[in-house]
Amino acid sequence: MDLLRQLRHFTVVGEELHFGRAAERLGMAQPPLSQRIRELERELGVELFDRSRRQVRLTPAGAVLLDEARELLAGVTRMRELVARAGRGEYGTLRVGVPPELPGSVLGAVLTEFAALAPEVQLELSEFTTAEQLQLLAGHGLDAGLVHHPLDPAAGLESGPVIEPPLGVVLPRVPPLAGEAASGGDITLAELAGRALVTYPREAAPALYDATLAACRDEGFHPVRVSTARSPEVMLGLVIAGHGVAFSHPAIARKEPRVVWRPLAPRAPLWRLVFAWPARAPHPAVAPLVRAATGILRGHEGGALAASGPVAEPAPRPWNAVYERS
Amino acid sequence: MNGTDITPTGELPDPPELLVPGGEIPYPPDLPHRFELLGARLWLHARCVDCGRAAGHAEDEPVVLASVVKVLLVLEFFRQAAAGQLDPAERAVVRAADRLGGTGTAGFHDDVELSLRDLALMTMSVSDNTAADILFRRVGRDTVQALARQLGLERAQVTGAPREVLESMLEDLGAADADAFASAFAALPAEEVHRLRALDPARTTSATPREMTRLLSLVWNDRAGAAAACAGVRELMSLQVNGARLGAAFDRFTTVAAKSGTLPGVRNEIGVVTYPDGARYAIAVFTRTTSLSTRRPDLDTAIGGAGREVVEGLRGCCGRADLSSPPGD
Repeated sequence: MDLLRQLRHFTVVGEELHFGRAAERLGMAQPPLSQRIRELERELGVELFDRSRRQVRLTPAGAVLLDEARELLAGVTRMRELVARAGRGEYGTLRVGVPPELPGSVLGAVLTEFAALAPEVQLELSEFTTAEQLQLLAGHGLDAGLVHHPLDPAAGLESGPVIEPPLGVVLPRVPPLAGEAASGGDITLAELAGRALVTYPREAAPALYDATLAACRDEGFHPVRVSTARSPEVMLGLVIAGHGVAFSHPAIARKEPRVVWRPLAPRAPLWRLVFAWPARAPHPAVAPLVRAATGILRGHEGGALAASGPVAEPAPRPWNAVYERS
Repeated sequence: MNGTDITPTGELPDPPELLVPGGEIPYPPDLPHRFELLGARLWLHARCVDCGRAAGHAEDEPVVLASVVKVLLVLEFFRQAAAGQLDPAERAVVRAADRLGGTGTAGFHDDVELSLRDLALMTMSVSDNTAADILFRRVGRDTVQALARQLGLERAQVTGAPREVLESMLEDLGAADADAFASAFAALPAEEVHRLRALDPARTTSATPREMTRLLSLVWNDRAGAAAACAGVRELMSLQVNGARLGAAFDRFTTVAAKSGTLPGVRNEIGVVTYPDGARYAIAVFTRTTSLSTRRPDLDTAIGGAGREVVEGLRGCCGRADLSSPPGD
């Protein structure tokens, strides 16, 4: 027997206090409705309606049940709505891993954007290295993670678009590099020759670590020493103290006026990120998260005009066009 | 709390506000009409920096700030410098892709390297949009918006650096590059120019005239940040090269520190005038014209004149002479 349906029928009778009108409202015939109410009374072992007079009335037990049933039915409706919204990724908790080196300003922008897209999804953020995240994702300990690209195809994960944050080199401000680079130009790996390197520990992302060192060596930068730092703060500290140069997103270096950040010339190591999530039974809120994050991570630092490259000298400059309007 | 404005709760003490019974003083009643004769609409607010007495016209309507927003930007810059979050001597390079035209480094031919504080100087003295872009990038667009909120400028919205204003125009016109934009913009009918996002207070950087005089009052009372930060803003506003608006309306014994804002159809200026007797008045004048000319000496003169007339109506408001103890402390 379907208790919820019985209760729904009961509340209508309880509101109408008339079996005929209640049956009409429920779109059914009266005899089966009366039968359902009798079944409910048998089930509960009480009389719900006083049928002794001309008019149907609720018994005290019936009155209590009417209140309870309304509350229960409202709870069920709410439950259905929440479950449906959770199914669409609009409600629930999303456990997301982020790498410790993600700049705070970028992370803040992602979270703000995601909150606007899915206001009722609670984000549970944790910092983990790529290696740790991959392990957690495999065991469904995380719903999604921002990890270094590429992924092992055998890992049972799906991933979003590849994000390539601007990568550059962090140097102590003093002493400056010789030549053009000191005035803010791009730096090639070869110009770093003779320096030490500060980077993340190999176990954090082994494939990336190996690829980075290989790219350095290929371009003639053989670090005289490699130190490791898990957090950006320690990395900056080591750079300031002269323990080496480091690769990072500009937003990290810009927090600290004692270092400078320079873009790396082409043929530098690439630190690409992707969002990954379990291929099996993914959390429905992963899609809006990836959408929000990809837009922000790609758009950070420079918009459309920045992407269009240098303005050719003879071309009229846009502000001139605006101001010269008459 | 010497030198800092923010209480532990992040609240900001109010600037002196309307202490004089009787509230606001009427502005010269025919002022808006006189602007209409010049083809312009007027929004105006003036207040005594010391007693808060004020006068205005449409002073609570949002207006396009244009370059007036640079006051907020530079204030945030000086606040971060005072807090040790950036080094004002940090060097930045202005590259070809940064130079979008206009005054200062924005119109330079070659890459140039300068310190952040000199970018601030260029931003304020000649309204250099590229210098402002780079400063915005360094101090953060979101932090400038946050500063406006923190200072109680509830309506103020900062949608981005000058670059973003320009990008919105390129987008609105569907122009692929600077070249296409220049020709498309020159050929655009006036009514379509007025429909650009960059000229709509709801969709671009905007605030109300009253909020702008509030900002100036806070800066002039050392309440918009550390005293050094406020002093930095006051100094740079006194170095503005454009003296055609408020600057031209007051005699040489009155000092004027101001920041202009100009876009096609938009002419603004905010500033503080200090009389020889020490009385100080914050003024915010915003105008819109249907004509798009960016050269309007008649309107520049009218903007200065309006500021002076309103301030003259306020003169003697608090009978101040003693600068050693600002009221409200």
